[in-house]
Amino acid sequence: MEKIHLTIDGVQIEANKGDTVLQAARNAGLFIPSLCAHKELSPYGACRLCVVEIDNVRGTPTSCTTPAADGMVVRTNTDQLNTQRRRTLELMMSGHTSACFNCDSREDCEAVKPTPAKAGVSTRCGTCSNRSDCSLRKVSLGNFTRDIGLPPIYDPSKVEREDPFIDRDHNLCILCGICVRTCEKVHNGKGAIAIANRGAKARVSSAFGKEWNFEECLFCGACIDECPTGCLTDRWSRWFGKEDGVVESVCPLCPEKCKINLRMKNGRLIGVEKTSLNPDAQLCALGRFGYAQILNAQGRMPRPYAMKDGEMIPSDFGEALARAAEIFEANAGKILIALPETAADSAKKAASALAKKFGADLEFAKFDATSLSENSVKNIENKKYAAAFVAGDYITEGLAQNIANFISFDFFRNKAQRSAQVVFAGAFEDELKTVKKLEGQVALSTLLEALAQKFSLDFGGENLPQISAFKSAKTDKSAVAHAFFGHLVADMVPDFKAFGLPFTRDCEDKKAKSGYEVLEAKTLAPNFHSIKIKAPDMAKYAKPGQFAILMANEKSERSPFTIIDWNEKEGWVQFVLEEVGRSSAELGMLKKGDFLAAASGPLGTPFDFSPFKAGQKALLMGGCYGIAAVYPVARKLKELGVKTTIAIEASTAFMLFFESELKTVADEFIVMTRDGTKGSKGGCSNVYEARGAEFDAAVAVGCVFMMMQCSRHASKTPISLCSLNPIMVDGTGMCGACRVSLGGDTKFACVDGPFFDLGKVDFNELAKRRTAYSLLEIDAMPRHLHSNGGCHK
Amino acid sequence: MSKLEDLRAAAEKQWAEFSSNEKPRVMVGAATCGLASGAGAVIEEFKAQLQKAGLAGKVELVETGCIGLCYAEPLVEIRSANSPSVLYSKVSPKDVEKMVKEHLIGGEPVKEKAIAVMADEEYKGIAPFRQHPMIALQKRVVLRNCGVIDPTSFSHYLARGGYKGLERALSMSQDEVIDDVKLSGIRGRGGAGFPTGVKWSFAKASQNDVKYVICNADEGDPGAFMDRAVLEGDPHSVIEGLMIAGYAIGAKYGYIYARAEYPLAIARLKNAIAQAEEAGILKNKDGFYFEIKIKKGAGAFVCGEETSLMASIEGVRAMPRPKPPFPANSGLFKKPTNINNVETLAAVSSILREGGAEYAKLGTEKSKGTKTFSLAGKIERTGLIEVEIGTPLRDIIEKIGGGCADGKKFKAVQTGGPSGGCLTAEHMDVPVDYETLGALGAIIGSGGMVVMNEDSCMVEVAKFFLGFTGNESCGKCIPCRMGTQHALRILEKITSGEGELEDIERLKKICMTMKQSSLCGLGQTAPNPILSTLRYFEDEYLAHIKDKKCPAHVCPKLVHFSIDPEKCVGCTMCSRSCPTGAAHGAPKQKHSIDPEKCISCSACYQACKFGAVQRD
Repeated sequence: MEKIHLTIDGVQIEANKGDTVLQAARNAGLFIPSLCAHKELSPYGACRLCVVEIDNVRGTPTSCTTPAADGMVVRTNTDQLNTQRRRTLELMMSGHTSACFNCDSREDCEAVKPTPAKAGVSTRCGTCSNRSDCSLRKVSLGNFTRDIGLPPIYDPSKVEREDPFIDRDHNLCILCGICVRTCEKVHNGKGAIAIANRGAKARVSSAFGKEWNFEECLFCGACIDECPTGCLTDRWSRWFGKEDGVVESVCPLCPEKCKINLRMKNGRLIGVEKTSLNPDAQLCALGRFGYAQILNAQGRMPRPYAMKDGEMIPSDFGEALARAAEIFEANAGKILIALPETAADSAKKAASALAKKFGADLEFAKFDATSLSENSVKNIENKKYAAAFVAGDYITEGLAQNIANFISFDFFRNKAQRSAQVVFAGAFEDELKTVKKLEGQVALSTLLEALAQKFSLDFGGENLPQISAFKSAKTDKSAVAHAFFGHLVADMVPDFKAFGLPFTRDCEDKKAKSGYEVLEAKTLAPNFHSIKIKAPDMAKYAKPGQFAILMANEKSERSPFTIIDWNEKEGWVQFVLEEVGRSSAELGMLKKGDFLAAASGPLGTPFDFSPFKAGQKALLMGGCYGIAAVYPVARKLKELGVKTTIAIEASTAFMLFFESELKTVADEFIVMTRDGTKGSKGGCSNVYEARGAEFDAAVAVGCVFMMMQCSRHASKTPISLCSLNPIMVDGTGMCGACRVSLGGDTKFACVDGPFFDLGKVDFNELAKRRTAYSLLEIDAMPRHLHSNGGCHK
Repeated sequence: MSKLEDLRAAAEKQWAEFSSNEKPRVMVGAATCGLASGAGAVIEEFKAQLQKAGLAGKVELVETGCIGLCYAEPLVEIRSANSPSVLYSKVSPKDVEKMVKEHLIGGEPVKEKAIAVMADEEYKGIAPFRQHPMIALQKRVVLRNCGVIDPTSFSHYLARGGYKGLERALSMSQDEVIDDVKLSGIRGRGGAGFPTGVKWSFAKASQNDVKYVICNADEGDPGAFMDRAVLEGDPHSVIEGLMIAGYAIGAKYGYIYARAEYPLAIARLKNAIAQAEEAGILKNKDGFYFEIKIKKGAGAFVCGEETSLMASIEGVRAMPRPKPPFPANSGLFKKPTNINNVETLAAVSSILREGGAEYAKLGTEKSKGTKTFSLAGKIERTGLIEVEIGTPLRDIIEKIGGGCADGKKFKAVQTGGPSGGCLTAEHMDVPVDYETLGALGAIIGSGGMVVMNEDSCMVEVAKFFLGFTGNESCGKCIPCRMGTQHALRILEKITSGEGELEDIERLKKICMTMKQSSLCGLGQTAPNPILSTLRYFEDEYLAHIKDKKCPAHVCPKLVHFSIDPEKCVGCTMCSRSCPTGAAHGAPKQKHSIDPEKCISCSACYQACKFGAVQRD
């Protein structure tokens, strides 16, 4: 290749002819910031961050689009360029949910909250599933000022969650065009998505803004893999964050057997990716989105079972294998062996050898069949077989009863297993090499090879039958295999219902049919909802500072929520909820006329107003849900004649709510935003620090980090309190989950609190305890909440 | 081209007949501007009246293009046998009967409607056309046929020297053609002003078996209609120019990218292309082979940018791409491509016909030739004009345009549309050329001139243009997409009385970022209306921000209306015109305005005949 020489920032470098200036710089190890450049995609020139100065070239061209030329003299790091980049970033960030970038406390906050909160929609890095793998953060953190001086532009209608598998939040999109270019590249120039509309309305879209499932989109997921922001995400896997390892494997789900990369985290499969951007390496929706969900689906067999004295009892692999071998030997000539044609070749060869040895009938079930062939079914009905080995869910419970010695292999529980003599717990072929091993699970090939070896069979030379004709789902999503090992795909991955795939399992309707009626429900800010419920008893006894445990349906987790307002005469109670996980999302979805399955309260010790006298001054500080939670305390203090100063904080202007209500109970009202887009820049702790000495008491309610910041100034006021929000189960002091430490003492937040001495709380411990279940919480996320194929539409 | 010679001989005969005064004739300006003012109904009425008078078939009824006097539309030219044509303005169908009877039959022009006679001498007290104030100072090169010939007639074009430029070009070498264009000094009339001959030399130098020439007819500036008038009034001049460009750079294929909002222009082009093919000029297999396709654009402003225009022709989303590679090396379908605007190509026909040296005699030292301008906004005589470059602004606004409409005070003129800037009363004596306007923060651009008077709020003007560019930004690059949004928001904040002093600095910062960092010309020039109004009218911004007043009484939230009881006679005009019921009162009683209901629409202010409605 022809070489050229150019000078970048005074350094002489060699480059290939045809390289762009950016490529030349990168190959030489020089850094130029950029977001829309992608080494495998065509130059685009949209983000304008890679601007450079070149001698004898007018203006500041983008290095990603400028061909390098021999003798070129390039500067990448002048004041002018850095100013341009910073201002471009400021403009970009004003249209991205960027409050965390501008926050002076970002580093401290992220140390306390190592993983983002699993919110309904992303409103900043702290609630963005892409935080651990975000290109914007990587590029911006060095170049960015924390004062962008531009109001944030946010539009709730830019969240699109109607499609299967893919969540889209265009508030995060920077229109770098990488998804569009990727789609074009991997589909040989025939992309399904493009940028539609102009100006402020421009967004990545399928034709005419329809749902992607109605258009040519094949759900190959390539766009998601390349998206540098959190705009395009895999709904199922997004909250797991960045993988800690990638393992090459082969997709077992259909005869095509595509190469895939398994994304692993903590020994678990969190997603599947294509192996490259070559058009040939693309995956179908089943491989890309289905595999990880199937492997992680509920109902996996944890260990083998064997029938003993008419009862199925847990067994181990050795024992189960011995039983299976006995059954084969005892029933030679009257055996059926059935396994799917998509099984590994070694499994099929071993099965053939076993069939030959024992004169058994052998069936390789069609890859997307859900039952055995008519012939086999007839034979079973006619009780032809004294024994059968069936890998997969191919025969009904009734049919299985016609086989005296039934051996089942399956990944999942199935009904036929009830009358089995031996049940093997299946593992996917590559699963045990990568995923944390469960004792007793076994891959089909391992099992059949072991069985064949038990009889010293040589099975290397067996011929295998042709696999049934199939259509690649890579180019036609209607060709996605309906079933795997006899199980319907859409039963395991409900989003495939949106493709029109058959299913037998209807989604459960979890909605409560009776309980506490929702009288009013409204969204206050992204992720924040207010609900008023009919609960006359609670309204009768509620006092400021108390909470209640709410459950949207009878399978929801029990979660505590502060009682914001109530009316004994009208019999209602009001709560403000923040969506941070499954149960709060279920509560957030409730509409007027719906019911809550449970609402127990009032709970907790009410706020102690006894130390307060008329004329005293109190500082009430609220952040997140605490913005609303300080309201009842402030109202009572004001009634008592205490002068109230209410300071509230939010990450950014559009996250503020409840201001008009608070103003009615505040003598002084202060607004703080972390990014300075409304009120003053900073948080409540800044107010406390600056003005704490003016007050007789201070109360902080908000997230752990906010209260922790406030606690540093607790000595400024004679009284300083906080309302703690640990994980809680029963709320009555029985389970101990809400244990908190205060200066060496252990207290239960539910009965001893929620109000505690702000200066004494061990916030580090509280923060750790709150994240103890974060991985399980991800599993519990209602992932099919919003899609068409899902349950709750 | 012996066939063309024959055709021209026949055409000249036909033209001589057409322009001789022997036969009576009615000619109606039927370009889009004329049709929009009602020329269609006038034509129908003439047909009916001629029929009634028994003159059908004896009096020729011709539809012509735009002669440029838009303020006077519908325009009709009538001549009775053996007498000169008289130009009538603002003709309505009810005038037609009288014109037929008195002028066509009686031979006496209807003087109250006549504005000029198409002759060198005064005729029956009617002044010659050339002395008309809107015409006297013009120098028509590009527009020389507009409104003069029948644009659907190939013969008319041919007879007036049409395709002689092409013939001359074909007799020269490619380089000689380019040199002649360089000699003419013409610069791209689409807005950027790049020397046309130099541009051609780049495309010529680029080696490829296939090359393209494109005519950019995606005229998108609000208030600009030069290209439309040329396409509607003289389509062959554009085709001829495009062919000359094609010959010069070595291209066989031409595209005309015209916006779909110009249906008449497209129809006239199609007709002209068919005629040129028929005459063997286009698709000439024996000589210089050239073919033209028309691509209809769907009305995105950014398609005027050359790389988006090419993307649009290719059938993908019209988004600009960075240059290099320049179109001359890799343009349409990745082939060497040359793009010129309509007016440039129309001028090229004349340049090649008359010679580059002839054209270079016009204009200034550095800005050669003529330029068309569309006069719009609050000016007395709106219309399409063509003047020598370097003509003082005063001549254009006051002498040609007749000054501000309704005798109001001139405040500014926005030149170059949303990419341009404004010139103020203090600039009245500057020559209108590329260099002078550029130095003043304005541009010649494609030739739009929108005049503003004392009733125009300059902050509102900037807001209007930013709203336009914001909506038309393709959204690709960050500075343009986000910059227009933020700038618009700040301007909205200022015009609604919530502006802060810091907003001016914020605006300047955003404008600089857009200028320096945007990908294409749209984003780079979108801040110009803000920067130029800030340069000349910062006091208006400050009045909005500091005093919460709109000096021009335009911004609704900053204007308050009340009724002076001394002057009110209770005529009810204000309450009847009020859309919200804010202005109220019983007949013959003093009226008042409820400030709660008032939306400051100014309807009452305009309705009141007694000056009783006050605003502050």
